[in-house]
Amino acid sequence: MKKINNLTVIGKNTERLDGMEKVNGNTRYTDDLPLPGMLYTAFVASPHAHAEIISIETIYAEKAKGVMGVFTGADFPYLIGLYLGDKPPLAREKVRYFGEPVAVIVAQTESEARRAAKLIKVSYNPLPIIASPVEALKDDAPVLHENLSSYNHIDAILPEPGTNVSNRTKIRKGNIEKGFEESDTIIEEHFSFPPGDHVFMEDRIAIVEIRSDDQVMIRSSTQSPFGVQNLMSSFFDIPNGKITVTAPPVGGGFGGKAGIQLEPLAYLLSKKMDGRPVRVALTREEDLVSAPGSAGLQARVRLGATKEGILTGADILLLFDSGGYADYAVNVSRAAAFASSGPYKIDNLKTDSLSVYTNHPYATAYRGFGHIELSYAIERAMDIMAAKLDMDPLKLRMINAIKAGDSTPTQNILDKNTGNLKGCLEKVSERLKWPEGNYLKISENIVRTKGVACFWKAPAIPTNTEAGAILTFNNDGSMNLSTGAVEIGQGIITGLAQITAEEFGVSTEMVHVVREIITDRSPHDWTTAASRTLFMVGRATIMAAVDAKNKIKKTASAVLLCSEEDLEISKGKVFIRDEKDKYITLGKIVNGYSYPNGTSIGGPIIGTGQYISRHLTNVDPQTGAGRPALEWTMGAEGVEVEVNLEDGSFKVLKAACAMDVGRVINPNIARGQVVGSMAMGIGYSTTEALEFDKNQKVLNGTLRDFKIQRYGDHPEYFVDFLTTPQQDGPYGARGLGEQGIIGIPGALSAALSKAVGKQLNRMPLTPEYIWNEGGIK
Amino acid sequence: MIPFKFSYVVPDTIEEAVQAWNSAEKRGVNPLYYSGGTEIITLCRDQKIEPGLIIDIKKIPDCNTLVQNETSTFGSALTLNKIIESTNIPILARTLERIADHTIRNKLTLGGNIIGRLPYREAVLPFMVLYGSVQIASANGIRTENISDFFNKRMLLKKGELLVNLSLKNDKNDNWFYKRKEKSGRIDYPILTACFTGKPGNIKMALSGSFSYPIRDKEVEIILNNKSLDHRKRAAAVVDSMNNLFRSDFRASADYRKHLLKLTIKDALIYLEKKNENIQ
Amino acid sequence: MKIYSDIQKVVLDVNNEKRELVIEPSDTLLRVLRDKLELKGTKIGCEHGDCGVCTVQINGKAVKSCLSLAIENIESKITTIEGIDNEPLKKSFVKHQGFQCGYCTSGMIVNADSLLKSIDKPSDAETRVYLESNLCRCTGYEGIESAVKNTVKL
Repeated sequence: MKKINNLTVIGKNTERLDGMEKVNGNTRYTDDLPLPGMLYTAFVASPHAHAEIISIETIYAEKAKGVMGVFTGADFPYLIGLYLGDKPPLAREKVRYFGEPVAVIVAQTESEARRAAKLIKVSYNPLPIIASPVEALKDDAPVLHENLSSYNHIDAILPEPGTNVSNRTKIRKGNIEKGFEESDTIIEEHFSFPPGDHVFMEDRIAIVEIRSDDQVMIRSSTQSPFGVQNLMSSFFDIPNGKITVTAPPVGGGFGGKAGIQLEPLAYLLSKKMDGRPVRVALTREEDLVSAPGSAGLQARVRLGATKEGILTGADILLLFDSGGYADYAVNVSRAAAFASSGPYKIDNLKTDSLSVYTNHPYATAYRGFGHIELSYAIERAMDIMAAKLDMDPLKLRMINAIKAGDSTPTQNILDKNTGNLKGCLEKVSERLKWPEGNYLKISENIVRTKGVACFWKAPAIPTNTEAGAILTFNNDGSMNLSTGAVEIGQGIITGLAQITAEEFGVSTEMVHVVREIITDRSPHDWTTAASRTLFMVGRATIMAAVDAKNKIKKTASAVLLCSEEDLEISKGKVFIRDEKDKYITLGKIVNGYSYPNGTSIGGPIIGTGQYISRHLTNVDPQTGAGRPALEWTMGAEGVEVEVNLEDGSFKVLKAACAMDVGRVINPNIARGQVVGSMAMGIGYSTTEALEFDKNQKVLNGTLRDFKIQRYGDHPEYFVDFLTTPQQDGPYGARGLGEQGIIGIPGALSAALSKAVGKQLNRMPLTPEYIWNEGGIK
Repeated sequence: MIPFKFSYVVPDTIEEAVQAWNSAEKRGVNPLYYSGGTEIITLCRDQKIEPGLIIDIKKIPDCNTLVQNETSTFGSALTLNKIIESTNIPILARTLERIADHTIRNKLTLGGNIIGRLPYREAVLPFMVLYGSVQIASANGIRTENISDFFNKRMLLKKGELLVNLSLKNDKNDNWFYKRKEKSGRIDYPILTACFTGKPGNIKMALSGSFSYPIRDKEVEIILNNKSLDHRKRAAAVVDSMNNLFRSDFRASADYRKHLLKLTIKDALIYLEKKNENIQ
Repeated sequence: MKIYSDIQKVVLDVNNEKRELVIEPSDTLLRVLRDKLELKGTKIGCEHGDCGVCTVQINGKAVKSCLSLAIENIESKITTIEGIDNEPLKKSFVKHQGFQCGYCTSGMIVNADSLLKSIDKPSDAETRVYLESNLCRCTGYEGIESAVKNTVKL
């Protein structure tokens, strides 16, 4: 690595490589490249949250114009799931949530498919409905998955057959009884919020065809091309190498396009259509409801502290509403357990984190991945404790802020790569002018209040999470970087270009980053998610650059008649360090070097790099002890709101985030990620909630009724980065894509609770709810 | 996308439009008048309606009238943005500019908002409180109706009747008050839209969002103008008199809607009284 | 009275080009632009008028093409993102982080261009009225605000 204080590209606001393409509308997303002979689909979805399927009449649909086939769950006897195989591609025998797909039409055109879908008649026998995790855990609750005991699952997931629990993760650290005995004050409270949705702008889509040699060709809006390849291989018993997945640029993922989505069904349909390409694309309504969103939560936190405010123990119960199927929730709930102390030193910790089946639309990975749900509960508890201790809530957090040398819920000792959480809190305090007070009465009805929260997150990744990078070169000396990282808007291709450019001492104009990831030619990569891509793919990229430079130097040393150690590469040349006039321009050597008489040596330089997560271990199923976390990015957030107590309406005036990221590769891009995730956090806490009637039918399943932040809703944002180096990160950087969302629910709840003088322990924080709890009546 | 086919005609006159409708109806073709089309296209996309013939009235001059005098007339095919940009009637502009969003308002028309399927019909409120009238065309010719007689939950058009334009009388003294509340941000259906006009003692009030349809009720206005009650009591009395009508849905409970209306009535009364104090 | 009873050959003026094509009266402008004219820059996001990624200009005014019929635009000048020639606006979006995943960007730029063409130096309130028609999930709108404001400055 270059000396850190001479950086020329890292830390600069390099313009996005894909900028001009995007502002001209020229980016080719999955639906922009139709395949010849492509067929189209339309779904029929269940109007019931829980029901037996009695019959599906398909005869009229089958006869409709343009229809090539009509399929139901009976046609596809597979059970699919990332960690727990519990979900058929189309409902079989019963439906477990409102909107679950029960039939699909394949037709020559989309119009014909949609027309025919209306001709399908399904009859149901409604069954008793489970509306929440608490209901699901009652002794007399219906069991939603009667065959849970026979489902395949990975070892780390522990489903409880005969119940609605798809996974239980336990943390038993220290001695909880002792922890509460040592406390002077104990608080206990319940918190909850319903499921929500990612609402990326590009709806989910997959196009699959099967070549005549049985090669399965998948194009999909996915964060996880290799994950899709792996899962398809294991679900359908196809060798990995016979599956090629292409991941074009993605119109927003936020975790909702990690794992596996429409690809299995698209494959099965293509198979039924003799390998013809089949486009499975969701309408917005289907994406909001039929396809998975974010989990709901019911939580109970019991927290103990001394009268000086030192936390002595926490007993936490987290019930994740994972909906009708488990998908990612088994791991989301697990990740939440591993982080369940919040970024605080708690030596005695008892956590039970369950993913629970209910009759709600099911949940998948969502930005924050368990840490956001956990954070809401623990930050609320911290505020309630602060109120009981009559202590400034920021001070309570300072006292207990976790630091290097402290242990995590899984009993790892945080090393010197640990971020400076206190410094982040100080920064947020400064931005929000916290010392001036957190409650100000503006008029009879209007108050301004502030709230703060801390957050942390480590990527929730398997112990063998890997990344790779390949560098090839062009005759003008520029280079092509190929990795498995998908550009989902986070700016990864620009960040990797900056890293590569820094290694070679050139501008990013000399680095061409491959834009479409294709599994037969891109290096293997776990998934673009979990805020690990810059870290891991960055490391692999550096290694590939170093490898390429070594190979260039080997050939150059022969030409320049010197030892390789004497050579340097910078600004498009390889040269002798202390005789700079003895050089070769890279273009003349990267694909072979020819002497004046024509004799040629060397050959195309190909640099390779790899990375695998280091020293991660599995965890003990009884105590949670182990090392699942690669690196923790932590920080603090705060908001200032103005509340009208007459009707509970409010405006977020300011939102501040200070995060310790080790090093900022591109300040503008980093800021954009944090601001975007804070905006998502505000929506998550206030408007983005699925609404259900008493039969758990979704009432707000369109963008008309499911609201996200709009232009003009945005507060003044403050973003600060602290830079305690991540010594094993690329140039000292650690991940940051998700963290900005995590502390917002806690901070916003705190500010609004302060406004009404009552603890608000539910979300969404709507004006009606706020007014009901403490407005002027 | 619309997954079925229909025919499309563009009449040049009211007579052509009405005739096209009637002859299509006789043939069982299921005709629909169409101006902005935003709602029709949405319903067709979802296959909730299946018109066989779309009659686009945007070219008919009478449906594009824009005359502003003591009586102002607005064609039903005018887009909301066109009216907002052109009108000198503040309460009309304020009410229209909160419907949907700006881009939709480049297409959504006055007629479309009032006689579509959605229950809010906010564009009719200013007409309700400014002595509004409507011009209707049918096979029998063209006639004018007062809105107070012709609107009960919805405009009482019969099948095949075409809403040509709406008129209102300008309030020279500019006494008006407007309020809109939503659950989740400015771009949302209302949980309260309120238009008030007139001097204290003669205040008129038209409401949407609180109920399942727009309401202007002269009996309620008697309570609204009852000076023997203070503002709060009057607001409470008005709300009590409409108690059973308040809507409860996922956007807001009936109780919260009642509360918002009480606050709004109080604010309107105070504002209009203060305004008229200054004039005297 | 013009009558279009069935599948039609029409000419649409798109991005200053007269394009001859065959459409059904019930075809939405969005699908005709993407599928028949292969102008893929205009996106599908909800086909319900809520998100704005399908925004085009009709005679310079922003319109959601998912809620417009191709046939009602025979006499209009249609401009898609491919036909927006506002280089300062586009460069400003790149410089000031007006996008991340890019999926809302076509519609956002088309609408922002119509704002800047209609109002010389739009105020914050005027900018909000226009741009609240377009959803963005990635940026939190801060970058979009910077991009539009910095274009005005030029």
